[in-house]
Amino acid sequence: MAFRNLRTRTVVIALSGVVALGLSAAFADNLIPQDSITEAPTAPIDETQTVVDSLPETPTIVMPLETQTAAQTIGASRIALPAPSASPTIDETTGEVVDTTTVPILIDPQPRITLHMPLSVGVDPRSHSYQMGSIDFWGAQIYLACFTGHGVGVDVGSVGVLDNLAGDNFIVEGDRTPHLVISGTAAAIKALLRAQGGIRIFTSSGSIAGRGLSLTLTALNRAATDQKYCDAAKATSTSVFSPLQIDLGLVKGQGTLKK
Amino acid sequence: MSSGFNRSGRGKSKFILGALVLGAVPLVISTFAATVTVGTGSLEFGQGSQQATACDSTVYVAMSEEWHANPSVQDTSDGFFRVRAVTISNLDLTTCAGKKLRVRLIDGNSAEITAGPTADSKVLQISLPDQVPTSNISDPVVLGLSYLTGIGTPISTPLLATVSLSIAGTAVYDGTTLSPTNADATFYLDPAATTVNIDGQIVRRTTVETVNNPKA
Repeated sequence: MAFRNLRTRTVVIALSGVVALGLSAAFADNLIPQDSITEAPTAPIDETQTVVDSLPETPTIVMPLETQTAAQTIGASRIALPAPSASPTIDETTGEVVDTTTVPILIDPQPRITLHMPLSVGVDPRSHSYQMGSIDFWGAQIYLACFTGHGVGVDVGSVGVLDNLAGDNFIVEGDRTPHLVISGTAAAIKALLRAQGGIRIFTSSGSIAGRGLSLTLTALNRAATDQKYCDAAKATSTSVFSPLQIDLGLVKGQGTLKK
Repeated sequence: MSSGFNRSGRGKSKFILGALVLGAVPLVISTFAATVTVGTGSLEFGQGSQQATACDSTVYVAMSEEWHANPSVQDTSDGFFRVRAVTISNLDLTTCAGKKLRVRLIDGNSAEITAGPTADSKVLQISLPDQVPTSNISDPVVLGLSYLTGIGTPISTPLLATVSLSIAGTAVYDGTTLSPTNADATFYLDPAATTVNIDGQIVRRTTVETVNNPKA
């Protein structure tokens, strides 16, 4: 009888162990996920979260005042040198990526600019205007050209027409006044200065002889017409309109000369 | 308010008048010296930057210049402003029809400046059309463009210059609208800038002359 009880107990214990092992395996399957399931969704989630994390940083970028002006100028005209951007940002309203620049308008120090303008221009002493097409310059890509008339006005573009305008490559302000400014690419400015034979220098009254015209050139990263950039110019020249000699004006009647 | 000058009476006035007359004599002599040797035919003459021609007393002159690079060992950016063109403006082609128009440039020593390929090319001349043109003319053959010596002798040499006679467009001198009675005659000295490169700074005077012997 004792032997019989012992055998029964052994069987019970053995069955209990089998059940315990089975339960352990079942728990283990639930607790440890399989590799194929855990890796697949992880990677795309991580990438999405990286972009989302950068969005809140966009409005926190604070640009200096001058840089903001540059951005506005770029918006107004398409005249700009290729410039490195600080970092791409995303516009909150449109969601578009916007390059913000940190390059100032004024190039400092100024590059070497060669400006050729005649020191003296011979004019008819009776003339009230002079067509000047003899200005040449090089050394930079984008300029601010500031003309200052000494007793004269400067007419660019169509004669007698106010051509204050902004094109793709240039900005003109102060046409037909003593203070004309043109900003833009070198090619655009030269084309303007040479259009229709050149800029016309004129007086409102009296002869142009004895008067003068000054030009300063400032190298810029962006087109701009602010007077403070005129003052920063290193290239400057002045032309004086000199009267051609007044000599003997004589009209003779007809006369037959001896052969 | 009076001055000693005002009180001096006729004596001083006569003295000043005499001085002026004496001062004018060399100019008159040089003018007549030029006229005598111009050639055959009748001559009309105007001289000086205050232009006066017999057929039109109110012509004007405008010189245009352009940068001419002339690099040197010391300065590769060296150069000067060359005379690109000389324009006679406000020309009346009705009263000047059929006449010859001459231009010359004078330096500070009153010497004529060479305006052509040879050293004796001192004058540029065209013949204005007998009939008032109805459009701009830029054919040098039609206009009879040629070089002359200082005394008016024709020079047979290849032309470097070109010319345009404009009756439509904008006047170089004052930007007014061109017309047959307000024409521009522009002499381009050497458009290619290969040979005739006159420094604009040395030009002190221009002369314009008309000659009334178109068939001579």
